[in-house]
Formats: sequence, structure tokens, C-alpha cells
Amino acid sequence: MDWSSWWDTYSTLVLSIGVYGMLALSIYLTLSCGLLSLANAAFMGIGAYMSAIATLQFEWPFAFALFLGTVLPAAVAFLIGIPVLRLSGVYLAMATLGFGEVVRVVLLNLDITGGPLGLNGIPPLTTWWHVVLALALTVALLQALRRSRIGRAFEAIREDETAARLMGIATDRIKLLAFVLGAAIAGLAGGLNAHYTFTLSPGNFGFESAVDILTMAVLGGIQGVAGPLLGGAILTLLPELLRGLQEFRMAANGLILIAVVLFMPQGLWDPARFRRWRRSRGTRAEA
Amino acid sequence: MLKLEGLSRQFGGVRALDDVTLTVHPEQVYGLIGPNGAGKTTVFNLVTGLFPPTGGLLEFDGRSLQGVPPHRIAQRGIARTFQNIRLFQEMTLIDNVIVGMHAHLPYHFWDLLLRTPAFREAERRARARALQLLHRVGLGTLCEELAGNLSYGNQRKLEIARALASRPRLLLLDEPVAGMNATEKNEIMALIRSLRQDRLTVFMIEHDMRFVMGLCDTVAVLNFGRIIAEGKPAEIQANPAVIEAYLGQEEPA
Ligand SMILES: Nc1ncnc2c1ncn2[C@@H]1O[C@H](COP(=O)(O)OP(=O)(O)OP(=O)(O)O)[C@@H](O)[C@H]1O
Ligand SMILES: [Mg+2]
Repeated sequence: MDWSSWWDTYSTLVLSIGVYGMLALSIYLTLSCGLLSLANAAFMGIGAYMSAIATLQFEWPFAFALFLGTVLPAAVAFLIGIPVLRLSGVYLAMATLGFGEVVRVVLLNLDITGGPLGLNGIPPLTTWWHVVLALALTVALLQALRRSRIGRAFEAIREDETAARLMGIATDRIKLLAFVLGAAIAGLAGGLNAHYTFTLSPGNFGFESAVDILTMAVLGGIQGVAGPLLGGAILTLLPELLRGLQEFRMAANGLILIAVVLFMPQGLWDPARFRRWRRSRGTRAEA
Repeated sequence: MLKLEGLSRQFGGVRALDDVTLTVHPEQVYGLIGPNGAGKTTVFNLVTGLFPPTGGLLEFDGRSLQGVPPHRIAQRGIARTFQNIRLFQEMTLIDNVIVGMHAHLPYHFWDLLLRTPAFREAERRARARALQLLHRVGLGTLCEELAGNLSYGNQRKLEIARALASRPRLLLLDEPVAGMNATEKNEIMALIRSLRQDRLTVFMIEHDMRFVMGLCDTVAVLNFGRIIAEGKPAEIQANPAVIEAYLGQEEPA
């Protein structure tokens, strides 16, 4: 099989690995700040629709469309974040899921979004280097944050929000920042996604994909950026690899998840476990 | 420096604090003692803005603390430690201390994105100063350990280092030597003496009488949410009301 026919067959899958990697990173960002937000699928949807409308109906340049698809969800996140981020834990999860439902219903009922039919014939403008560049920028952003006062504030808030506030950290602002940046990343991923799948429908961004995105981050682990990327890749590839199992595919998928959560609660990518492994191998070698 | 006037706080029907008036003067070591449940920690929680008083006034450096959120109070120069240690367990010692410097890291968002010289310089200085503070409390050699792995006494020391990181003018210590052995107590005593030499004002809650009497310039006694005595350590020790409050407490339950 030569390169171009391989790419024709698998391009969607390869691009999806990158796009879902970004989505897993977007939820990792809020999780690293202790926020269990399930709004990222909705932000992805807002970004996808915004940028698709920009290229399809207004014929604006792709770059500008992606820009709008990044900024609009960030702006929405800013507005809903101010009231919603007062909640924490399960209450925040419920509120953000509720927000996702609102977004789905709005997409379903607007004319400009094509209602229940969604949008069709979106120009296939996303190429592999768009995805690589967006992913690289996302990783660079998250790494820069991690090794700065903001990343330390995220971690401090996750561990003990009260202590963090008493250390002079404006916790409300830092949490809002994580929420807004997460929305921007998810929106960009949505914009890229829309321009290689040709169609969008409101159902793509509902409860199921919200849970999928969370699962990617939990499966991969949230000890660093490698975990979510790994989780995103696995959950994108797994359905393809299990295709032979046909109707048992979803069950196998679920079983694998349960196994990981039970036996590796920190996720697959867990630097502390790697260190333990290395250490135990070291002592065995000495003995 | 710190003024509490007629301060009250109720939790449901419980009057945790009732008309508390006291003043901590600059460069003083001020002790607050009293039986369990007297309301001592509540005083610190009100001063640091964790919850509002139900009555009375709070002033720091002549400015009211009414309605000021906790992070702003911290930025004005009040730092504290906690009776039930609240470290960032999964962070290293040095990162715990650097979190305490959060408000003093003078770089912007674009600085950290672009890793500008201003960013690198600020981070380098923060690390250097954090290391200094860790050495000062005797934890310098453990700087890359996780805070959760420290012994109880060392966790208390780390809390002090983290509080000092914000360059406070007023340090609130909530039972700084609880659970410590005699050697560690002496180390903390020496540390507080050296802090006073740096002209830091200390307001502390402590049950250990030898510690309180050895360090404090002024001691106030809280009992059932009310101040029942205030004065020099020797006066307090001789005060019949105080002796009774403590004896009443120590009767077998
Ligand atoms: N957040 C709160 N909610 C409800 N009640 C509280 C709260 N904080 C303190 N209390 C009550 O207020 C009273 C004083 O508590 P506080 O913790 O200030 O006592 P303390 O003097 O620090 O005691 P200890 O020596 O045991 O630390 C207690 O009866 C306590 O149950
Ligand atoms: Mg107490």
C-alpha cells in the first residue's frame, strides 16, 4: 500500500488522535486545578460550529475561522465561569453537564447551525500540519504554565484551596483562567475537527463525548501532559483495533477502562510508578 | 498593628467569640492561650478573612479588614500556619515555599509564555530565597522531598517557612510546637527569637506554657470566647481567674 492510499484510508484516524489529544489536554488543564468540569465537549461544539459557519457560510479564511472557534468558547467560558466556578466537586460536574445540554439544545434549534440536520459540506481544510502545530502550541502552553507561578497555583488549589487562598493566591481568578484556557483549547480542537469530518450535528457534542473526554484524561493519567495525550490516542485507536470483535467492541472498551482504573488509579502514564519500577529493578540487579 | 475591637463570632447557637478586644503592637510576640474550644483558632480565622465576624471591628495597620478577601489580607502582610497542618502534600518542600511567594513573583503572563529574562530571573531568585528559608528552619537538605513524607515536627517547620515566604509583617502561628519533642521545641523557640530580631511581629496560639512564657511579651487568655486576662507572662501566671479556667478544664472528665 503506498503512502497516498494509506493516508486516504487513515487520515481521519490520525488527525483524530491529535484532536482528541488536545481535548484530553483541555480537561487535564481544569483537572490539574482541581476542577471537575465536563463542559469541554460543549466548548468543542461551539468552536466547531463557529469555525464551520465562518468558512462555509461566510467563506472567511481558515485561520480566521479557527481563531473565532477558539475565542468564542473562551468568551462563553468566561461568562459562565464566574457563577459556575463557585461550585466544586460533583456540583460543578453537574452544572457543567447541564451547560452542555443547553449548548446542545441551542445548536439543535438555531437556523444558522442547521438545526437537527447540522452542517454539511464543510470544506476539508484541516491538514496534518495544522493539527501538529495546534497540538505543539497546546503542549508548549501547558508546559510553560506548569513551570511557573500559575502552574504552582493550580497545583496548590487542587491540593488545598483554602491554604492556597491564605498564601495570597487569587484562587477565583486562577480557576477562571484554567477554565477559559481549557475552553479555548477545546474550541480550537473542535474547529480543526469540523474541517476534516465534513459534517457536524448537535449530537456529536453531548453527554457521551463529555464522558469520553474525561475518560481519556483519567485513562492516560494527569501527572503531566504525556498522560492525556496517551489516553486520547488509545481511546481513538481502540475502537478501530477492536473492530474484529464487532458487537463486543463497546464491552471490551469498557472492560479495559475498568481494569485500568482498578489497577492503575493514577492512569497509564504515572512517573511515580515508573520511578518505583526503575528502583525495584535496580535493587534486584544489585542482589 | 493588629487591632480587634468588640469582635464576635457565632456558629449557629455557639458563641465562639464574644466581644474580644485586643491589640498586637509592632515587633511584639503576642501569645493567646486558653482551654480547648475557647475560640483561639477562630480569632485567626477571622483575622485572615476565612469567614466574617458577626460583630466588632478588625484593623491591620490602621486599615479595616472588613470584607477584604483572604488573598488580599495575605498580600497586605499577614501570614499564618495551621493547627491541623495544611501543606501541599504532593509538592516538594521548595515548591511549597515558592507557592508562599506567589504574590511576589513580578512577571506577567507573556513573560512565562516566552520565558523572558525577567521570568527566569524571578524564578531563579524565588528558588534561591526558598532554599534560604528552608535552611533557616533546618530543612535545607530535604528541599526536593515531598512535603507529605516529612515527620510531623518537620511539617510544622515547613509551614513556618512557607508563611515566611510571603514576607509578612505579622505572622500568626497556631500551636507551632504541638506534637514536637523537646529538641524541636527549642529549635522553634530559637527561630521565633531570630524572627523577632528581624523585627517581625508574631501572634501565636500555644498550649505549652514554658514556650509561651519564655517567648511572649504579652499574653491574653481566652475562655469560652471571652478574654479573661491580658498582661505580662508573670502576671498571667499569678492571675486567679486564669488558674481557675485551667484548673476547671483539667478536672477529670
Ligand atoms: N467553622 C466552624 N463551624 C462551626 N463551629 C465552629 C467552627 N470553627 C469553630 N467552631 C466552634 O467554635 C468553638 C471554638 O473553636 P476554636 O477552634 O476556635 O477553639 P480553639 O480555642 O482553637 O480550641 P483548640 O485548643 O482545641 O484548638 C468550638 O466550640 C468550635 O466547635
Ligand atoms: Mg485551635
